[in-house]
Amino acid sequence: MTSDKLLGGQTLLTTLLYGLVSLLLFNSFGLVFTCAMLLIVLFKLAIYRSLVQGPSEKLVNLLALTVILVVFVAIGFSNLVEMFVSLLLGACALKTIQAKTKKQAMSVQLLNFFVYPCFFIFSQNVLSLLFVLVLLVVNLAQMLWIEHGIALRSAMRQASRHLLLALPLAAIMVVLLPKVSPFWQLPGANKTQTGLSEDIDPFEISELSRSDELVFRAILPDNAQMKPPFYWRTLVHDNYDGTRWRVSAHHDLPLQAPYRAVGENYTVIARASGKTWLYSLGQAKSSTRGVNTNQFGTLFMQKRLSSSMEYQVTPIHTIGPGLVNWQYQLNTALPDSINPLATALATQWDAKTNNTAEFIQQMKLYFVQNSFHYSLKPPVISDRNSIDRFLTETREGFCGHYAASAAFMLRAAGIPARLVSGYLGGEYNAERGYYSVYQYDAHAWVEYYVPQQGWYRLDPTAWVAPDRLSGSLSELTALEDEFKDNLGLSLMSYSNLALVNWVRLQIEQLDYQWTRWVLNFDQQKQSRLLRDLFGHYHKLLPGLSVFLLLIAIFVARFWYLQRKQVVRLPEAVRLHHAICRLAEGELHKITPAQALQVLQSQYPNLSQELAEFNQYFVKSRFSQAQLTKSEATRMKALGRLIIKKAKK
Amino acid sequence: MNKTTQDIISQLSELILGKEEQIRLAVVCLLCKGHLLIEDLPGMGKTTLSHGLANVLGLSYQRVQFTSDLLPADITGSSVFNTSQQSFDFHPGPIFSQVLLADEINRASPKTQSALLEAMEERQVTMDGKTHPLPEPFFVIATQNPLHQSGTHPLPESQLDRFFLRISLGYPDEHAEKSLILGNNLQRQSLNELTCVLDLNALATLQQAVLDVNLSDSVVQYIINLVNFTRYSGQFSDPLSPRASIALGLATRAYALTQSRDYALPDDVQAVFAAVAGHRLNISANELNDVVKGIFDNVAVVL
Repeated sequence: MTSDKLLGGQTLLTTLLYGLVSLLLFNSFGLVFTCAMLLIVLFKLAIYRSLVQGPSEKLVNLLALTVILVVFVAIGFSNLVEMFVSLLLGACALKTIQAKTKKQAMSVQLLNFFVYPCFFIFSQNVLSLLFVLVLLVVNLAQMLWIEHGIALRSAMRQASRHLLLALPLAAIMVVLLPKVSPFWQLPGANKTQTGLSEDIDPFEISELSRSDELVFRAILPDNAQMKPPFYWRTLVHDNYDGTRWRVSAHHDLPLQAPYRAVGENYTVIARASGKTWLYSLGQAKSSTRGVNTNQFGTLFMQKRLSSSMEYQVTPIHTIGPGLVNWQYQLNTALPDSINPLATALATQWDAKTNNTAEFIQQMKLYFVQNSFHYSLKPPVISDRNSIDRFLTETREGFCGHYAASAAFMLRAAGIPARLVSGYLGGEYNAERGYYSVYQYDAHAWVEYYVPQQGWYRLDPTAWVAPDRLSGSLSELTALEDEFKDNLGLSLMSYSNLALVNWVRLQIEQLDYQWTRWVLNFDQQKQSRLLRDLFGHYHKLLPGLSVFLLLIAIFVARFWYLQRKQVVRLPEAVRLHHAICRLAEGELHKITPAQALQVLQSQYPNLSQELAEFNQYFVKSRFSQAQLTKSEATRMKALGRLIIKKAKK
Repeated sequence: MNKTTQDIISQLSELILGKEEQIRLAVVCLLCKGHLLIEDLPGMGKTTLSHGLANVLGLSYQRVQFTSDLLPADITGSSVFNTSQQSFDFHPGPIFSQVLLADEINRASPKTQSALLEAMEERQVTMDGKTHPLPEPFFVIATQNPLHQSGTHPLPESQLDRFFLRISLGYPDEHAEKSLILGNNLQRQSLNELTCVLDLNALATLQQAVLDVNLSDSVVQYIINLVNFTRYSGQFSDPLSPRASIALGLATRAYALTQSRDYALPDDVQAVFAAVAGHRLNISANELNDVVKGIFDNVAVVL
């Protein structure tokens, strides 16, 4: 195989890796760009197989223009991060098509040290870390191959060794260097994945798509107060228009009412969501900077959550003056003349009962007696009177159906009620004592208001599927098959196999440690760790490490300069090398006389100058007699003249 | 000084046409006080070259045709009883001459070969407990038939190493051959009429001048790299010895001198490398060019 072919193989590998990366980021880039990337990969493959010619410069420019257009149209300026990353990826992929020389191939490989870590913008879990590490090792190995022609296997070994060598240094830098908050930050990548939504209309959904993506982890204190079921409040929907339950405009207004803290603090480590809302049990306040409490008592952030974040939560209880008039109206508002049956039921129960508790008892009786059942694949109801049809005809649905119906009937009876969406339960890791909450734990329930007392939680789903309260959805045996159908291909779907489940839990635990101790290793944790390690000298350490680093850089620079001087070639030889580079082949490896012949045949008009230069060069390198000063000057002048003329 | 070497070469070139490079190498060998091995088919001018060389240099010349029944004493000489003085007199053999042509050395038995080679190394012959020094200068030109010919005893590697250079004359080119056929070169009969251009003193001066040729660090490094390549590349079963490195350095200097330079170039190393290393690496003459080119391609010239 020629070196061209091998170089082609290396760049093909890089192109294939780009293809893989864009496939993995399909959710962020969308169909059009991913297809464009795959087309580029196919094109490169065809070139490698010599099915088509390598593209001309014109064609490459045309392709580049197309990629830019595709990115602008398909991704657009609204998703700035995706746009820039996809532009980078596309540009690099085109560069691999164009690369023909060693130098060009090398520049692509160098760029990869920037391209591959961009993966972290989209996903920061431990699997992504491993993936990016593997990519970097492959990249290093490719560089070793291209530069030194080391065979793939030993290149991989060397590259892994280099990476391992770098690890302790990285660890020291993470632990010792002072943590400074970043001067600027990338806007987080938007996520268009499954999860909570600001609008809820359960009756339009025929199949609840659920994913086993991690949403957050929580470390709860071990006391009587913190017992399941865990209702993680996230969004409060109090704006009902007859079909949808929307989050009201007041969702990000800070809490004004006075409150008191109730119970112990706990910690939540939230995964990047691209959204502003956060998760807490009941009403909460947080001491972490940037985390605010809104008037519903749920937590939110000013900026979108673009990277993993750890925050402290204090459970609170608001002591308010009660609902003011507009709030009362908002929470009892119903459009006119929809769902007459449900309204009739509600009025009937309202007449029968004296207080809200009894009303709810009536409602529970209704759901339990009329054989409603829980399902993740309910039939679609696209009727105006959807709740009526649900109550009388279909009678199957998931949390959203029950919550929406109950909230409707509460409002119909004049009781203020709102929908709350969030997560229910969580998988407990007994070894480390934390809860993991996944997207499939998403849940919706109802809050109703009792005058002079406040808001109470009501989960009508529990009447129909009481098991749902006890743990995570994944542990619900009755729905196992249905649940797994919805998950698609993932480790979770095989969790009944002991080994698979064990592996899944190990990865999950590793990810927890990674998130806790690396991603969220902040100033506070750093100083705590340093205090534990070094006692009360720890405050000096970050400063000292910077100082030592500066000294190390200083020493290294001197050492490097000195070393460089030793290897520094004499000027005559450097000039000779420069002239040798004018012609093809490795002329500096043959004798000066032979090189002279080749050069003279290529540059006949310079043959006299070349011969004269050679004469001085040979004299300076091989003869005992040194060049005189004028001869040395003449040689330098000749060298420069030759290079200048030859390049014309 | 430069003129004398040029003279030698041009004189001999009139005798053997179109072989200036080989003649130059033979002169290099002489200047380095080394022994020369010429490997060729019969009729290529081996004998003519050696005889001519002796005549041009004004040295005494003996020729021994090696055969399978040649005994050591036939070369070194023997002691004969002198009846008039009642003692053994040493009758020196043909080896006691300044230039010895050992023709077809590989036809002789190994015993005879080693007797000659021992004398070459020691530059003396010991007979009946008496040591007889060989004349100064002492220069052996051995010729050898290619080994595939029948009835030959190949020289062992250790003995091949004693020869400073190995050259092969090869076929003349068309132009030279035409001149040969037309008899435009000096005839064998006129060999003795070759002008003697050198006396013993002049030869000694020339041999001393070789040592004054400047061998720059980079050329020495180039020689070391070449030798190391034969040792560590794993391509050669008989890598070059330090003796070979010394020979390379010396031959390079002498070659530079024949080019009338007082400093050596990497080109000089390349010019003598095949002759110095070929027989030591145990490479046959017809493969030599390719192998040497391979080595030059792999070892970069040090500038």
